[in-house]
Order: sequence, then C-alpha cells, then structure tokens
Amino acid sequence: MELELRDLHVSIEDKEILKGISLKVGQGKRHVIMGPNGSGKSTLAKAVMGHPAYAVTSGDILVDGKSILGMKTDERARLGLFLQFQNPAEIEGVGFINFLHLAKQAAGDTRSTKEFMKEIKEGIKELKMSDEFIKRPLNQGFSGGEKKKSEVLQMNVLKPKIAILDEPDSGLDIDAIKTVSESINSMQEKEKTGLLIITHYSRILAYIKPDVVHVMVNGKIVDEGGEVLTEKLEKEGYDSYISG
Amino acid sequence: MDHDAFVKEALANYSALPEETNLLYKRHHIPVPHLFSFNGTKEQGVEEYLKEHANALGIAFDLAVGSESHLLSSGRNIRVTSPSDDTQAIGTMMHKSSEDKYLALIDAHSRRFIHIEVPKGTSAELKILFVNGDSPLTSHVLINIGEAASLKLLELYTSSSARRSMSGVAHEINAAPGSKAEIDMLHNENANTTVMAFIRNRAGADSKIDINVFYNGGELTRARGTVDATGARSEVRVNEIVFGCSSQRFDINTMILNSGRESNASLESRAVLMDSSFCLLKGYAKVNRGASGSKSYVHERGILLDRGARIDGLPDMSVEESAVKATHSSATSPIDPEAVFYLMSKSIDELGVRRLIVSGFLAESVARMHNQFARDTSMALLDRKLEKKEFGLIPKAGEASWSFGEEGKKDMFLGHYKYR
Repeated sequence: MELELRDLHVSIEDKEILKGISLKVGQGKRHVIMGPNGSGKSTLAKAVMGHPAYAVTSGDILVDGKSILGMKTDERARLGLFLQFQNPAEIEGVGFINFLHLAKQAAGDTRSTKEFMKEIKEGIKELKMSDEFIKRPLNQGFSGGEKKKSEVLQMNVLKPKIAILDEPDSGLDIDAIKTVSESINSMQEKEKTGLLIITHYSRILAYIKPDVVHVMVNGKIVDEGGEVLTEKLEKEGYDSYISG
Repeated sequence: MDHDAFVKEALANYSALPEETNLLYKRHHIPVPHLFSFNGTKEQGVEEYLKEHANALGIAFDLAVGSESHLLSSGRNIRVTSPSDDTQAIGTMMHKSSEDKYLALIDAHSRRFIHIEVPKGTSAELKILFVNGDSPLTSHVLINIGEAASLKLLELYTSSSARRSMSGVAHEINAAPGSKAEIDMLHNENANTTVMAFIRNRAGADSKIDINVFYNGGELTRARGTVDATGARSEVRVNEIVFGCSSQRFDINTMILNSGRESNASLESRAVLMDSSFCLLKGYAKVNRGASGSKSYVHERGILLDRGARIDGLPDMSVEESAVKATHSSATSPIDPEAVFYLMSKSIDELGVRRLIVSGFLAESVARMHNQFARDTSMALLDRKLEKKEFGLIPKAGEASWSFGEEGKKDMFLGHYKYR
C-alpha cells in the first residue's frame, strides 16, 4: 500500500494551512515530518484522515493511486490508514476494551475474542501499562503518557498498513519514549507498516530510525533528506528555514 | 363544572402540582394537545394480545394490563380492584381538582387499582406489562412495602393500537421503616400515545427507594413526580433516561424532597435527542425545615445528536434548612465532532460511533437498573431507535446487540457494556 499526497492544499475556515504538500509513504518505510509549531503538521495528519473541518481546496490524497477524497474517515481507516492522535478525545462511558473490540471488528479483523484479549494483555505488558487501564473509559482521566500508550496499543492491535503518528513522544518521560519506540518498531517490522511520524524533536528518532526526513514550515515541505538532516535540525533549529 | 368540561380543561390547560410553585416551570410546559374519550368499550381479543406481547418478550409477567382488561398470572403480593362506578370516580376527581388535573383525571378514570403488598420482613420481585389499546389506559398502582421488606418491580409499557391513545399510570409508594424498593420503568409506547406518568411516595426511616425510568416511547410524555425522603436517614434516588427521535416531546418534572433529618435525595436525568425532538427537564430539589444533615442532589445532562433537537434543562432548588449539602446542575451540548472524528478514524462507521457515544453516555444510568432484563431491553430499545428511528414496538428477547455482563459474574468486559 502506498499513501500519496499530491500538491495538497488544505484550508480551515478559508485560511489556507497546507500550501502544496507532495510526498509518498510506502509500506515498510519510515518517514518523519519535522517542523516548528504552527507549520501545519497536525493539519496534514487530520486532512489525510478526512476531518470534516479541514477542506482540501486543491491537490489530492491517493492510496495506491486512487483518490480517497470522497471517502469518509471510517472508510479511509478501513483501507489501512491509522492516525495516532496528539490529543485524543475523551469518550465518556465507553470502555477502552469495548471500543477497541468494536474497532477491530469494524476493520474486518475476524480473530477470536480470546486471541484479541491475549494480544491486548501482551501489548499492555510490552508498553508497561497497568492491567486496570483497560477497564477505564476511553481516554477519560488518562495521563498524557497513558494517552500516548493507549494510541500505540490501538495501533498494535489494529495493525494498519500506513500509520500517521502525531507527536508520539510528547508527554512521555525518557523511559516511556524508549518503551513506546520499541513497541512501534516491533509492530512496524512485523507488519511492514509504513510510518509517517510527526515530531518537533529528534529524541524519538534515536530509537526509530527514519528512512526519509521532511522539514515542514508554513504549510510547505522546505527540505528533505536522510537521518543526517535530523542532526542538522538538532544543532541549528528551524531558524534558517523560517528566515530563508 | 360538569365532567366533560373538567376533562377538557384538564387536558387543555396546565395545572401545577401543589408543590410546584415555580413560575419558570409554569411557563415552561407542554400542554396535552388531544382530548381522549374515557367511555371505551371492552376490546375484542385483548387477552390474546397481552399474551402475545408477554410471550414475545420471553419473560413471565405477574400482571399484564390492557386498556380495558388485564391478566393476573400470580396472586402473590399483587391484586387488582376496580372502582365501583362513575359517580365515585367523578367524586374523586372533583375532590382532587385543586391538585394536578391530569392526575385527578387518571385517578377518576382509573380502570383499575393495582395493589402491591409486601409484608413485613419479606421480599418480592414482580413484573408488570402495560399495553395501551384504542381507549386510554388508566391505572393506579398502590405500593405498600412493610417494615424491613424489599421489593423489586419491573414495569414495561408498550402499545397495541395504531389509533391515538393515552397511557396514564399513577404510582403511590409507601415504604415502611427499613424497607427497600427498586422500581424500573421502561416506557416504549408508540407514536400515537400520550404518556402520563405520576409518582409520589412516603419513605420511612432508614428506608431506601430507587426509581429508574427510561422514557423512550410516546408522542408526548408528561411526567410528574414528587419523591420524598420522608423519614430520618431515608434515601430516595431517581434516575431518569430520555431518548427521543422524530418529533417526540417530553415534559419531565420531578421534585425531590428532603423531609427527614440526615436523609438523602437525588435526581439524575440524562437525555439524548435526535431529529426535531424536544425535552423539558425540570428537576426541583427542596430541603424542608427540620431535614438537618441531609443531602440533596439534582443533575441534568443532555446530548443533542441533530441540530433540530432541543433540551431545556431547568434545575431549581429551595433550601429551608441550614445544615445541609445541596447541589444542582444542568449541562447540554451537541455531540462532540472531535469525538466522532476520533472514533471514525479507528474504522467505526457513523452509526457505530453514535451508538458508542449514546450508549456510553447513558450506560451509567442504565446500569443502575439491577434487573438484567430491564438493562438488556433498554439497550435493545436504544439500538432500534438509533438504527431505524423506531419505537413503540416491543423488542424480542435477546435482540440487543449490546449487553451488560451478568451481574456478579466476572468476565473480561466487567464494568462495561459489551458488543456482541
């Protein structure tokens, strides 16, 4: 599976946020988008998943060469796209386990409930989470770290073909970054998932080695390169892109 | 005033309960738009449809009540009497004319009085099915729970007729000291039915009364309750669930009273509305003088699934005693678009998302019903309304795609409803 953004322009309430983004993410590849606050990284993530408040004014989003602009969010997810949210919504009264069971079924996963529960328990152990976590309502009262881990656990269970991870490292302490990264690596290697990681900082990239790094400023990709680009950004920051 | 004029006035005008002096409540009400004839004749085949309804639901009812007839299966703890004649009925009506006229109307025209008696130190579990037919269903349920006795009562309301009709049932509960009662009521009348529900009580010292009501059916629901934590340390909890679609209207006015010292009275109302449905939630808490050390709590919450739906939450409170804890609140919001997007991004379609959000919002209230059948039936009614905009039809046994785990039985979904 390949996700392609072709000269993508996206607006929110008539304000253009993305100004012509083009990139391709294939299965098994690790892409990283880095950029300063307000550059449009999260807008890109939500636009790919079809958030109704984000209007694609021109350009296209394609999966395996076919436009998905006419598809609803759930249809895009069932193609194999996944978004790990930076700030996931809190859903009152909806148990985490029930939600994930329903999501698994909706995604066409026919594994038995027993297998599903086994996988959840293994995932909880891998992510060093409490067993009590799965009995709680979805994202309600979760700490920042728990929310991130919850999203990664969902991804591990749903096994997407392309996953967009919106700041998977924010709110995590040093040990948790390592734990979450190892879990993402494990799933990605096993399932050959394509990753599009959005981040401000390079710290998570110490554990998840990128194939391609894109620098995004003011709604545009202004630079691309390999892992070496992250080292440059770490030293020099984004000033040269902003002023230049 | 003659009988017909009284009926007309009762149905056309608003008349406050004696305690209901709040001007706001008098202004915000939904008048009953139809006149009903109370001179019905015995319907043909009523016993058959009561049996059919009971069989379809797959549970045994102790009493099945139609507009003009009833079937009593068990004589334990429950008996049915009829008013002797119309003269007496009109007399009753006139006597109570200073009170709520709708209630007086139901009192006066009650086809039957249903007496539930739970003797001292015993327990009873009863199920009653109410099915309104072509003519108005009017019943009066008189509940007496003896000292240290307990009652679990389930009432299911539905309709058999496509013609305009009324389902009116008034409850009077008398709970003796140390007794316990849980009453679960599921209203699923059809769209041609006006629902009139009344409840009032006395709660003895150290008694506990839980009232759980799910309003799902009816063209218009007009509910009035005065629930009193009468005795010292008594506890009354009212839990209301409203789920509306199309042009359904609900006018729910419940007053909770603290009369006994160190008593507890609470009202939790949750409403979810679709389409152009409308709901008035008027929760009123009153702490009487002498009810020192008591607690009072009114909480109203609502979710609007569509732009045309509206909930007016009007909680109010009157506190006449100083050493008490009392709170009231109301909050209504449209369905959160970010929550919808979040859940859809995990592959769940729009209907599934609405189901998750609605069920999640109402699950806590539904879970307060301890009766498994009541919980599962409530979820089946929610499902059917969300999927097909249908109500008024009785769900078949096991129809719910959502289910709560069996009470007290550990499973992996413990504490949550589950999707089969």
